[in-house]
Amino acid sequence: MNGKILTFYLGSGLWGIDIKQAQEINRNVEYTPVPGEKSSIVGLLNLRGQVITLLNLTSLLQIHSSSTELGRHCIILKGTLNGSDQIGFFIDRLGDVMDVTEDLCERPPQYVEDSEKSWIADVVKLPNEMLFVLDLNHLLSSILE
Amino acid sequence: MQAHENLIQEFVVEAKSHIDKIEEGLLQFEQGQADDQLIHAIFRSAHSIKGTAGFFGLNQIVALSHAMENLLGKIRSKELKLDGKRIENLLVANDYLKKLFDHVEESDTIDISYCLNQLQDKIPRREGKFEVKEQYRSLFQDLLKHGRTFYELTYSLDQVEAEREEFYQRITQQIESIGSLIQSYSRAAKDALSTEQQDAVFLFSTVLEKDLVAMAMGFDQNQLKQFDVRLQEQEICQLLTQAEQAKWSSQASSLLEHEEVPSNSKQSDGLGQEKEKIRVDVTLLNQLVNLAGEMVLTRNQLLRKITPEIQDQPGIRLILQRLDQTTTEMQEKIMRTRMQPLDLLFHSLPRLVRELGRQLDKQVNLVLEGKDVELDKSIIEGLVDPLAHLVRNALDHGIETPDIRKQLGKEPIAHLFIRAHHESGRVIITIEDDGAGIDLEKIRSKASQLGLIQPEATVSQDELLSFIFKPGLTTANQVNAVSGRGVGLDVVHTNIEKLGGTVEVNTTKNKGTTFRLILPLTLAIIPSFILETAPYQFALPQTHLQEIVRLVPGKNSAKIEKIQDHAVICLRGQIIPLIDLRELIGASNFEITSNKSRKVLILKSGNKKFGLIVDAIQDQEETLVKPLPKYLKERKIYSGVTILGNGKIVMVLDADGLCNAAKISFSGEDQAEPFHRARLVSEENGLTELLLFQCSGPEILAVPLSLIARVEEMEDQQMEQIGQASYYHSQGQIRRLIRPEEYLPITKNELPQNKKMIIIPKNNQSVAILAHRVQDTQFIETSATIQQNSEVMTKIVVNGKIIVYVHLAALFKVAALDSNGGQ
Repeated sequence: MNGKILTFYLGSGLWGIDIKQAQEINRNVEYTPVPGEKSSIVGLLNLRGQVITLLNLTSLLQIHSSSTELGRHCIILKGTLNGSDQIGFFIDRLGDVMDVTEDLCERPPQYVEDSEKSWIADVVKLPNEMLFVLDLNHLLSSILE
Repeated sequence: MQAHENLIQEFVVEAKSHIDKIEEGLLQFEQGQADDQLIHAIFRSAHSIKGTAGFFGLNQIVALSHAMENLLGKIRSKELKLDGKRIENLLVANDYLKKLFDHVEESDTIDISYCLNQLQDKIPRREGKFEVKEQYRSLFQDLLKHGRTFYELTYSLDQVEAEREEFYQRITQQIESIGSLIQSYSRAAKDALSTEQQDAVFLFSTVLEKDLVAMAMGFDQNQLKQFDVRLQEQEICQLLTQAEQAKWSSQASSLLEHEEVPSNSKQSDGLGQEKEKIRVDVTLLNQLVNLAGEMVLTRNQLLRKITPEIQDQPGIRLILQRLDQTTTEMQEKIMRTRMQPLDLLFHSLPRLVRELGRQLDKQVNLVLEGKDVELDKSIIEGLVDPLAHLVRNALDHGIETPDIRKQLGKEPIAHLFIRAHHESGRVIITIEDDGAGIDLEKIRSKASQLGLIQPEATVSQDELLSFIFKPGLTTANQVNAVSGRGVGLDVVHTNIEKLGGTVEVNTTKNKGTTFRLILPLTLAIIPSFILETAPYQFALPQTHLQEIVRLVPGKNSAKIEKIQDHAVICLRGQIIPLIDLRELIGASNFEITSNKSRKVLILKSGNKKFGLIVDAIQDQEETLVKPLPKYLKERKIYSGVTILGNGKIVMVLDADGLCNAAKISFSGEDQAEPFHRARLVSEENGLTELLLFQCSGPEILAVPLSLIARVEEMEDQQMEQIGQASYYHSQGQIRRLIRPEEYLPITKNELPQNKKMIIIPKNNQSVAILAHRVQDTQFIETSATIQQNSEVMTKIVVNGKIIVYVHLAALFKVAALDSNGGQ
């Protein structure tokens, strides 16, 4: 794909999303955990009167993240993504905003399990690391199942 | 052109109001409430429509309303009588008129010739050659010219697997390839055994012979009927007329399903004066409602933050009060803008009942009450479907045909009674019929068939009735176009629950059935309780709350029982199952201080009553309930989320969802049974239940529980001293407090300073026992020693300990002597 990617560190990897899908980045947010819920939902956040569902990206992507939630940044996605229910998720650290063009992108490698493959839209080889660009639509629809 | 459009729109609104009046008037006429005034009124309405339509140059509308006016004029001058057929024609014409106004721009292109013919009331020729109707003449000429034959193809839609639309298109294409299609429509099948039971009918013409047609289209020859254009004119005309009628009646019934609820309309308030109204965009109103809600929440936040600080500021308190008042009032008024009278819902019902009555050959008298009751617009919209369903059910399943009714000794005309009224902050809509009632046996067998209950299990009436709301359950043997598929009541139930209301049903065999819809007044802001089950907080709307019971460990342990491993509470003789919220949400690993009291909220959802155990009830708030994010939709115990005044998000609990999650099944009146049985059993087995308590000393005293009315806690201040004796005042009775240690040889110490327990006996209104602590209850074997005795006390051994058994009657006698002596 072409465009700007907002990158962030989660677990040990560098991930990215299309910057057009991001609304804002917050920090030190106070949220309400939802009791008895499946582990993919961390809780709910009150963002200026709007209720944001906070997803547990680490469990969804099946990666291990050691940091606690306190003081972490969270990325809030725009509401147009899936109707009126806005979502957000915690990240470990922010990365840069990168310009990405088609020729830099590759399809995910064969050995990546099928389920994960569908959430990764592209893989970008950077000088020091690999950037996995997330396919948010796929990710979100799989949560609803 | 803008101004012109606005004018036309206004005319449309006005005309529709006239059309409504005409329909109402015609229906009233049919019901037998005929009078000259009515005819005049209907005539005037038709006349106004014609006049203004002429001004706008809407020719077809003018033609149609002119025809109606003519007929009405003749009726008014008593030239013609307004009989059933004419009423029918006028109603159909009225529907056409409505349709014309719906598409006012293209109204000139819509064909109304059928209607005009009906209204012109041609006297049929009695003999002679059959005259083909004018409108069909050109068709006949065409057919004859090309030597075509007329065919009628009937196809049962039961066997259609593809979408109807596709099916129709496909057949049409096929027909067009061999001839030309004249009309197509669908109608109820002759035999109603199949589930879809609709037939598609295609009328077309072609030069081909019958067997060739069948072959070309791949149908069986007996689905095709052939008609000779020259010899069978009459039949062909009949078929064509049928087709026309079928098209219009199916549109009429769909009209009833798509009732538009206008945001404003002119109303005359009895004095004939029209209240001034303004049309407002509904989106704007919704935004206003949201803003009002936000304002209320912000005010709450402000009050919370400021109240501790304002003590010293002069005048601020007054200002805050004013702010408080104004905000509340403003919010209330804004809510009111969305309120509309139920009349909007009701006014389509007479027509529906009439049509259904004719379809089903039943006579029903519909009585509507409470059409001025107001409800929030979105609730009214959400009620259209459920109400229509319930009426359909009543007419189809509940109400019997006049013959059967006569046999049963009932009046042949059945009554359907729909009433709306306000009650304690809610609107209750009652739908009552005097039909056959719901056949509980049939439900039981159907439920058993579907595996919902065991065949031999005893199921209470309430539980059986709750099954009618399950999707897929129907006791109808035949499904017809009206109802019986088994989904109607499920839709009713879901829709009403979605609006925040509940459905109750009651039935008596052969007498009738009553449905009660209980709805909240407003959608958005619901007064709720904020509950805590550490460390989480929840909100629970007050709609389903009946009462709150406090559980103090030790004291009320007698009230909690376990029946078949479920915790229940016995409240005033009724057994209510309990749900522990902590267990339900899976938070049991959190530390609970076991000596803190917990609260039980008794909730009622429909016919189900149950108790929810929480740690504490913190506050009462008006909460703006927001819908649940779709990612959380799985857990049905939540109905939404809300933002509290302090900005915190809490989940809103759903009574029905809690019930289902805890997998409680209810059995109505049978609930009280096992408990009473248990009591009786124990007494029969020679067991007596004792209440064990302590006074100021270490001894444990006991009295038979059956002689005790209740036990109460008392603060120091509630005890009053008069002379030598102490008195206690409760529930309008003044009782003298008796300290057993004064009459029994047991330790007597100082009275405790904190809470004391008062044991109130059943048979004596003037005394009560003052105790320090109530311990427990205990069963012992009834023996001679504890029979009534002139001794005040007897020592007995229970569980290896010596208990002082107090004979109440003797104790009170001694105490009475003592007081008298003291005086």
